[in-house]
Amino acid sequence: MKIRRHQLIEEAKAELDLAYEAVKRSENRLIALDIEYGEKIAKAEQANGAKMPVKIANFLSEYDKKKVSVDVGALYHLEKSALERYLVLSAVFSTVCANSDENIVSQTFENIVFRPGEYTKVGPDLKNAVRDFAHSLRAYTTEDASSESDLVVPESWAVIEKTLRSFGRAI
Amino acid sequence: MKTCLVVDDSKVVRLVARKILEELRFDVSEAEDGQVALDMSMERMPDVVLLDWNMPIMSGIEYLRALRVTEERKRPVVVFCTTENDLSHIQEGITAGANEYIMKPFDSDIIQSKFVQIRVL
Repeated sequence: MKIRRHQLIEEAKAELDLAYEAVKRSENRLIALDIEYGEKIAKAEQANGAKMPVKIANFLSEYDKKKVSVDVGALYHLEKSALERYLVLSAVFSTVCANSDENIVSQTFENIVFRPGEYTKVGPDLKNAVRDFAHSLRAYTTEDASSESDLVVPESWAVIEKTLRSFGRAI
Repeated sequence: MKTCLVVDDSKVVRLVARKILEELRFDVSEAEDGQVALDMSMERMPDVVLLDWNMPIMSGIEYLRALRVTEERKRPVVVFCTTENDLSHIQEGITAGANEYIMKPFDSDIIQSKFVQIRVL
Protein backbone atom coordinates (compact mmCIF):
# COMPACT_ATOMS: atom_id res chain seq x y z
CA MET A 1 0.00 0.00 0.00
CA LYS A 2 1.21 3.43 -0.92
CA ILE A 3 2.00 5.84 1.94
CA ARG A 4 -0.35 8.78 1.54
CA ARG A 5 1.22 11.13 4.14
CA HIS A 6 -0.90 14.24 3.72
CA GLN A 7 -4.24 12.74 2.78
CA LEU A 8 -5.98 14.04 5.93
CA ILE A 9 -4.88 17.63 5.50
CA GLU A 10 -5.53 17.49 1.76
CA GLU A 11 -9.10 16.43 2.41
CA ALA A 12 -9.56 19.23 4.95
CA LYS A 13 -8.23 21.74 2.42
CA ALA A 14 -10.51 20.34 -0.30
CA GLU A 15 -13.45 20.61 2.11
CA LEU A 16 -12.59 24.27 2.79
CA ASP A 17 -12.20 25.06 -0.92
CA LEU A 18 -15.52 23.38 -1.64
CA ALA A 19 -17.31 25.42 1.04
CA TYR A 20 -15.60 28.62 -0.14
CA GLU A 21 -16.72 28.03 -3.74
CA ALA A 22 -20.27 27.32 -2.60
CA VAL A 23 -20.34 30.58 -0.59
CA LYS A 24 -18.90 32.55 -3.51
CA ARG A 25 -21.47 31.06 -5.89
CA SER A 26 -24.34 31.90 -3.53
CA GLU A 27 -23.08 35.43 -2.97
CA ASN A 28 -22.90 35.93 -6.73
CA ARG A 29 -26.44 34.64 -7.02
CA LEU A 30 -27.60 37.15 -4.40
CA ILE A 31 -25.90 39.98 -6.30
CA ALA A 32 -27.60 38.81 -9.51
CA LEU A 33 -30.97 38.76 -7.71
CA ASP A 34 -30.37 42.30 -6.41
CA ILE A 35 -29.65 43.52 -9.94
CA GLU A 36 -32.55 41.60 -11.52
CA TYR A 37 -35.17 42.84 -9.05
CA GLY A 38 -33.67 46.33 -8.85
CA GLU A 39 -34.19 46.63 -12.61
CA LYS A 40 -37.72 45.18 -12.46
CA ILE A 41 -38.74 47.60 -9.73
CA ALA A 42 -37.15 50.56 -11.54
CA LYS A 43 -39.09 49.69 -14.72
CA ALA A 44 -42.35 49.40 -12.77
CA GLU A 45 -41.69 52.80 -11.19
CA GLN A 46 -40.93 54.38 -14.56
CA ALA A 47 -44.16 53.00 -16.05
CA ASN A 48 -45.96 54.52 -13.04
CA GLY A 49 -49.25 52.79 -13.88
CA ALA A 50 -52.19 52.13 -11.58
CA LYS A 51 -50.87 48.69 -10.75
CA MET A 52 -47.39 49.91 -9.78
CA PRO A 53 -47.70 49.38 -5.97
CA VAL A 54 -49.03 45.83 -6.44
CA LYS A 55 -46.31 44.99 -8.99
CA ILE A 56 -43.57 46.26 -6.70
CA ALA A 57 -44.99 44.35 -3.73
CA ASN A 58 -45.04 41.16 -5.83
CA PHE A 59 -41.46 41.71 -6.97
CA LEU A 60 -40.30 42.23 -3.40
CA SER A 61 -42.10 39.10 -2.26
CA GLU A 62 -40.52 37.05 -5.09
CA TYR A 63 -37.12 38.54 -4.28
CA ASP A 64 -37.42 37.60 -0.61
CA LYS A 65 -38.42 34.02 -1.44
CA LYS A 66 -35.52 33.56 -3.84
CA LYS A 67 -33.09 35.10 -1.35
CA VAL A 68 -34.22 32.68 1.37
CA SER A 69 -33.79 29.70 -1.01
CA VAL A 70 -30.15 30.67 -1.64
CA ASP A 71 -29.58 30.24 2.11
CA VAL A 72 -26.15 31.82 2.21
CA GLY A 73 -26.25 31.79 6.04
CA ALA A 74 -26.06 27.98 6.13
CA LEU A 75 -23.12 28.09 3.75
CA TYR A 76 -21.28 30.64 5.88
CA HIS A 77 -21.71 28.25 8.79
CA LEU A 78 -20.31 25.35 6.72
CA GLU A 79 -17.38 27.45 5.58
CA LYS A 80 -16.60 28.45 9.17
CA SER A 81 -16.69 24.85 10.29
CA ALA A 82 -14.42 23.76 7.40
CA LEU A 83 -12.04 26.60 8.17
CA GLU A 84 -11.82 25.64 11.85
CA ARG A 85 -11.09 22.04 10.90
CA TYR A 86 -8.38 23.03 8.45
CA LEU A 87 -6.76 25.46 10.90
CA VAL A 88 -6.72 22.93 13.73
CA LEU A 89 -5.25 20.25 11.48
CA SER A 90 -2.61 22.61 10.10
CA ALA A 91 -1.58 23.63 13.62
CA VAL A 92 -1.44 20.02 14.74
CA PHE A 93 0.63 18.94 11.75
CA SER A 94 3.00 21.82 12.39
CA THR A 95 3.33 21.02 16.10
CA VAL A 96 3.91 17.34 15.59
CA CYS A 97 6.45 17.87 12.84
CA ALA A 98 8.37 20.54 14.76
CA ASN A 99 8.84 18.64 18.03
CA SER A 100 10.44 15.31 18.65
CA ASP A 101 9.64 15.09 22.37
CA GLU A 102 6.35 13.18 22.87
CA ASN A 103 5.48 15.00 26.10
CA ILE A 104 5.90 18.41 24.50
CA VAL A 105 3.84 17.27 21.53
CA SER A 106 1.00 16.01 23.75
CA GLN A 107 1.02 19.17 25.84
CA THR A 108 1.04 21.50 22.82
CA PHE A 109 -1.56 19.36 21.09
CA GLU A 110 -3.90 19.68 24.09
CA ASN A 111 -3.48 23.46 24.08
CA ILE A 112 -4.11 23.82 20.36
CA VAL A 113 -6.96 21.40 19.85
CA PHE A 114 -8.86 21.61 23.11
CA ARG A 115 -10.31 24.60 24.90
CA PRO A 116 -9.58 25.23 28.59
CA GLY A 117 -11.18 22.57 30.76
CA GLU A 118 -12.06 20.20 27.92
CA TYR A 119 -9.04 17.93 28.13
CA THR A 120 -9.56 17.23 31.84
CA LYS A 121 -12.96 15.71 30.97
CA VAL A 122 -11.70 13.18 28.43
CA GLY A 123 -11.14 9.50 29.09
CA PRO A 124 -8.17 7.22 28.36
CA ASP A 125 -9.44 6.36 24.85
CA LEU A 126 -9.06 9.94 23.76
CA LYS A 127 -5.64 10.28 25.39
CA ASN A 128 -4.54 7.12 23.58
CA ALA A 129 -5.89 8.52 20.32
CA VAL A 130 -3.91 11.75 20.80
CA ARG A 131 -0.75 9.76 21.50
CA ASP A 132 -1.29 7.43 18.52
CA PHE A 133 -2.08 10.32 16.21
CA ALA A 134 1.03 12.27 17.21
CA HIS A 135 3.24 9.19 17.04
CA SER A 136 1.99 8.09 13.60
CA LEU A 137 2.03 11.58 12.17
CA ARG A 138 5.58 12.13 13.34
CA ALA A 139 6.55 8.92 11.58
CA TYR A 140 6.03 10.82 8.31
CA THR A 141 8.87 13.16 9.20
CA THR A 142 11.24 10.30 9.87
CA GLU A 143 11.99 7.10 8.02
CA ASP A 144 9.34 5.17 9.98
CA ALA A 145 6.27 5.81 7.81
CA SER A 146 4.35 2.62 7.12
CA SER A 147 0.95 1.43 5.96
CA GLU A 148 0.03 1.04 9.64
CA SER A 149 0.89 4.63 10.54
CA ASP A 150 -0.91 5.72 7.38
CA LEU A 151 -4.11 4.16 8.71
CA VAL A 152 -3.66 5.28 12.32
CA VAL A 153 -3.49 8.99 11.41
CA PRO A 154 -7.07 9.35 10.06
CA GLU A 155 -8.50 6.74 12.46
CA SER A 156 -7.15 8.40 15.60
CA TRP A 157 -8.06 11.83 14.25
CA ALA A 158 -11.64 10.59 13.78
CA VAL A 159 -11.75 9.70 17.51
CA ILE A 160 -10.41 13.17 18.41
CA GLU A 161 -12.94 14.93 16.17
CA LYS A 162 -15.80 12.89 17.59
CA THR A 163 -14.80 14.03 21.08
CA LEU A 164 -14.56 17.66 19.95
CA ARG A 165 -18.06 17.43 18.48
CA SER A 166 -19.33 16.02 21.77
CA PHE A 167 -18.10 19.30 23.32
CA GLY A 168 -20.28 21.16 20.82
CA ARG A 169 -17.48 22.17 18.48
CA ALA A 170 -18.58 22.60 14.85
CA ILE A 171 -15.48 20.93 13.44
CA MET B 1 -36.74 12.81 -10.80
CA LYS B 2 -33.42 10.95 -10.67
CA THR B 3 -31.97 9.99 -7.32
CA CYS B 4 -28.41 10.60 -6.15
CA LEU B 5 -26.76 9.20 -3.05
CA VAL B 6 -23.91 11.34 -1.68
CA VAL B 7 -21.48 9.24 0.35
CA ASP B 8 -18.88 11.23 2.28
CA ASP B 9 -17.76 11.35 5.91
CA SER B 10 -17.53 15.15 5.71
CA LYS B 11 -20.78 16.91 6.55
CA VAL B 12 -19.55 20.00 4.70
CA VAL B 13 -18.97 18.04 1.49
CA ARG B 14 -22.34 16.28 1.79
CA LEU B 15 -24.27 19.51 2.26
CA VAL B 16 -22.49 21.40 -0.51
CA ALA B 17 -22.95 18.46 -2.88
CA ARG B 18 -26.62 18.26 -1.91
CA LYS B 19 -27.12 21.92 -2.76
CA ILE B 20 -25.45 21.50 -6.14
CA LEU B 21 -27.35 18.32 -6.98
CA GLU B 22 -30.72 19.71 -5.92
CA GLU B 23 -30.14 22.61 -8.29
CA LEU B 24 -29.60 19.97 -10.99
CA ARG B 25 -33.00 18.53 -9.98
CA PHE B 26 -31.83 15.37 -8.26
CA ASP B 27 -33.60 13.81 -5.33
CA VAL B 28 -30.63 13.62 -2.92
CA SER B 29 -29.92 11.35 0.02
CA GLU B 30 -26.76 11.21 2.15
CA ALA B 31 -24.63 8.59 3.87
CA GLU B 32 -21.62 9.23 6.12
CA ASP B 33 -19.79 5.97 5.40
CA GLY B 34 -19.81 3.00 3.06
CA GLN B 35 -21.80 0.74 5.34
CA VAL B 36 -24.65 3.22 5.76
CA ALA B 37 -24.54 3.78 1.99
CA LEU B 38 -24.75 0.06 1.30
CA ASP B 39 -27.75 -0.36 3.61
CA MET B 40 -29.48 2.59 1.94
CA SER B 41 -28.67 1.26 -1.53
CA MET B 42 -30.15 -2.16 -0.71
CA GLU B 43 -33.33 -0.47 0.45
CA ARG B 44 -33.60 1.89 -2.50
CA MET B 45 -31.02 1.72 -5.27
CA PRO B 46 -30.10 5.24 -6.42
CA ASP B 47 -29.56 6.25 -10.04
CA VAL B 48 -26.23 7.92 -9.27
CA VAL B 49 -23.74 7.62 -6.40
CA LEU B 50 -21.24 10.38 -5.62
CA LEU B 51 -18.68 8.48 -3.61
CA ASP B 52 -15.84 9.61 -1.35
CA TRP B 53 -12.84 7.34 -1.11
CA ASN B 54 -11.38 7.64 2.37
CA MET B 55 -14.04 7.02 5.00
CA PRO B 56 -14.12 5.26 8.37
CA ILE B 57 -15.99 1.95 8.95
CA MET B 58 -16.32 1.12 5.24
CA SER B 59 -14.26 2.92 2.60
CA GLY B 60 -15.51 3.98 -0.81
CA ILE B 61 -13.84 1.11 -2.61
CA GLU B 62 -15.22 -1.48 -0.18
CA TYR B 63 -18.72 -0.07 -0.70
CA LEU B 64 -18.25 -0.11 -4.46
CA ARG B 65 -17.06 -3.72 -4.54
CA ALA B 66 -19.99 -4.79 -2.35
CA LEU B 67 -22.41 -2.83 -4.52
CA ARG B 68 -21.19 -4.35 -7.75
CA VAL B 69 -21.65 -7.95 -6.55
CA THR B 70 -25.28 -7.47 -5.50
CA GLU B 71 -27.99 -9.13 -7.53
CA GLU B 72 -29.89 -5.88 -7.93
CA ARG B 73 -31.03 -5.27 -11.49
CA LYS B 74 -30.58 -1.55 -11.22
CA ARG B 75 -26.94 -0.63 -11.67
CA PRO B 76 -26.25 2.88 -10.45
CA VAL B 77 -23.72 5.15 -12.08
CA VAL B 78 -20.88 5.65 -9.60
CA VAL B 79 -18.68 8.73 -9.66
CA PHE B 80 -15.94 8.67 -7.09
CA CYS B 81 -14.47 11.83 -5.62
CA THR B 82 -10.86 11.96 -4.61
CA THR B 83 -8.11 14.35 -3.59
CA GLU B 84 -5.52 11.96 -4.98
CA ASN B 85 -4.58 12.35 -8.60
CA ASP B 86 -2.18 9.50 -9.16
CA LEU B 87 -3.10 7.19 -11.97
CA SER B 88 -2.94 3.90 -10.05
CA HIS B 89 -5.42 5.23 -7.50
CA ILE B 90 -7.86 6.27 -10.21
CA GLN B 91 -7.35 2.99 -12.04
CA GLU B 92 -8.16 1.10 -8.83
CA GLY B 93 -11.50 2.90 -8.61
CA ILE B 94 -12.42 2.27 -12.23
CA THR B 95 -11.44 -1.40 -11.93
CA ALA B 96 -13.62 -1.74 -8.84
CA GLY B 97 -16.61 -0.60 -10.89
CA ALA B 98 -16.69 3.20 -10.82
CA ASN B 99 -17.95 4.82 -14.01
CA GLU B 100 -16.04 8.07 -13.57
CA TYR B 101 -14.13 10.16 -11.08
CA ILE B 102 -13.89 13.82 -10.13
CA MET B 103 -11.21 15.59 -8.19
CA LYS B 104 -11.90 17.41 -4.96
CA PRO B 105 -12.60 20.24 -4.55
CA PHE B 106 -15.37 20.07 -7.13
CA ASP B 107 -17.92 22.75 -7.93
CA SER B 108 -21.27 22.96 -9.67
CA ASP B 109 -19.76 23.28 -13.17
CA ILE B 110 -17.50 20.26 -12.69
CA ILE B 111 -20.36 18.06 -11.48
CA GLN B 112 -22.67 19.25 -14.21
CA SER B 113 -20.19 18.65 -17.03
CA LYS B 114 -19.23 15.25 -15.65
CA PHE B 115 -22.88 14.22 -15.34
CA VAL B 116 -23.56 15.34 -18.91
CA GLN B 117 -20.52 13.35 -20.04
CA ILE B 118 -21.78 10.16 -18.38
CA ARG B 119 -25.33 10.87 -19.53
CA VAL B 120 -27.08 11.14 -16.22
CA LEU B 121 -28.15 14.70 -17.07
